[in-house]
Amino acid sequence: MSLIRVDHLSKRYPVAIKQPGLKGTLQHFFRRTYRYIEAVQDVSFEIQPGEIVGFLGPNGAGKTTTLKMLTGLIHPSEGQVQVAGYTPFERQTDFLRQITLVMGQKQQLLWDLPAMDSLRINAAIYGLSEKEFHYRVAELAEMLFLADKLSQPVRKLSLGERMKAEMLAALLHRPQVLFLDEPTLGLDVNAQVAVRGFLQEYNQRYGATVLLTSHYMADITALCQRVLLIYQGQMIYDGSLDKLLLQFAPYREVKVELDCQVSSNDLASYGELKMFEGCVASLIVRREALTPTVTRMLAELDIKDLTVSDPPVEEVIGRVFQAGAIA
Amino acid sequence: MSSDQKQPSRQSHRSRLAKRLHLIKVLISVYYAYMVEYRAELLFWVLSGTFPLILMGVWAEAARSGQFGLEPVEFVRYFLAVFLVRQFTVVWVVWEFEREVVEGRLSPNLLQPIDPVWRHFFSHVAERFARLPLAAVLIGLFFLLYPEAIWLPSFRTIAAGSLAIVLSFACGF
Repeated sequence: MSLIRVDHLSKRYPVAIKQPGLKGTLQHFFRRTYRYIEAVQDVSFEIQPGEIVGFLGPNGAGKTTTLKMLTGLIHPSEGQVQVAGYTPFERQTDFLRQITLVMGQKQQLLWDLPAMDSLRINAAIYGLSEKEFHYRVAELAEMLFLADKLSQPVRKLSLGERMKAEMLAALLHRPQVLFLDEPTLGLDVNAQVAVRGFLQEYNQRYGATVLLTSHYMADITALCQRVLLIYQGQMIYDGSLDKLLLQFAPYREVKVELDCQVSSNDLASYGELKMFEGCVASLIVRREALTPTVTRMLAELDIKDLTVSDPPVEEVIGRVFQAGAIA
Repeated sequence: MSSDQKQPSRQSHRSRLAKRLHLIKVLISVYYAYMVEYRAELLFWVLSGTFPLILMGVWAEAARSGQFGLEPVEFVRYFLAVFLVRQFTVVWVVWEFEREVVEGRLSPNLLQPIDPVWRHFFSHVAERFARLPLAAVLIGLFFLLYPEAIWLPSFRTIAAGSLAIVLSFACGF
């Protein structure tokens, strides 16, 4: 049975329009005009318990609006949402105990106090006993490598440490459904890796369901088997990441280190020449032609080194959004 | 309903009450820590409420030289009471709430099983505890310099005054 069920979900909201200048200000005050944004249009999907699903889309595509409807922060204009058997916007206590929302760059910890103080509030809100509170904090702090940072004021923590502390606060009540909106935004590579590792471990340890939005493709490739693509408020893809890559990247990149006598004209016969600098060249070759092409190159050229790789996922997703829909 | 059935229900009611009291204690203690984090700021907040003490000087002096319904010492006590009432009735919830909405900090609080207003309420309560010692020192200092102003209101006046302060705070909040 699905843990998250979204059925023909839409959200339309008004945005006030204001002209510049005093006249525009007065007009805006007395007779406000609006235009309507179709932020999410007829979106449907289901997520099974324990799944980690990537939710991708360019800025303004409707990802955050969808997450807000799934958590009950805003009402849908049309359609149905069920999360863990509850209708989110009814905001029942039992529902709120099962979910969490982490938004990168948005903080819930008290800025001037150590994170431990905010954690004490959260523990009391969720009715954790003192023993359980200390056990969970120790467990999560160990998973996040954060133990010695919890008694420092939040303002003194680095961005990565702060994000990890935010995550600890958001997961202290051990929610079963995690909505993560850009959880690694602005973090350095090490912190991103740590957060990803933590999410993976949390998912495995507690069987939690995760819906994750991120602009960092490394987050998606490391965590998600399945992705949802949203573009201009509409769902354009729901399926495995591998299938998406296969469909939108029907080619491979062949990088070779050569004998420097070879010219670019010689290389062009093997595939599309992407780069040729010094004795290193990079060629784009269609997947079905990969084996014969590589065999021919090895036979005909003096190759010192050869590597075959997939194109970067960012490039593939970018191509999908440029196309606007899945073919 | 049998007494065996009543027992667990009474226990769960007691446990819920204990959890709520614990939550209140935690909220007050954490927000107290938050309020006393910046000591200088707290002192300035207390001093910013001393305007009645300035007016007190003006009115006491005027009462000494003119015909008013109150004696100078009564004016002094009146403005001292005003100073004290102001210390207990400061409210900034709208400003703080607006900031939370604009900066997107309200969303995580809305997703917790507690109305966000309680955080604001207990932060105000905690701030009174943080402010009180400083206000008491100021009043003590004042009585030391002006001992004629010392008076002990009746129990009924204190009770009515406390009720008025609570209602005033509630209205402002």
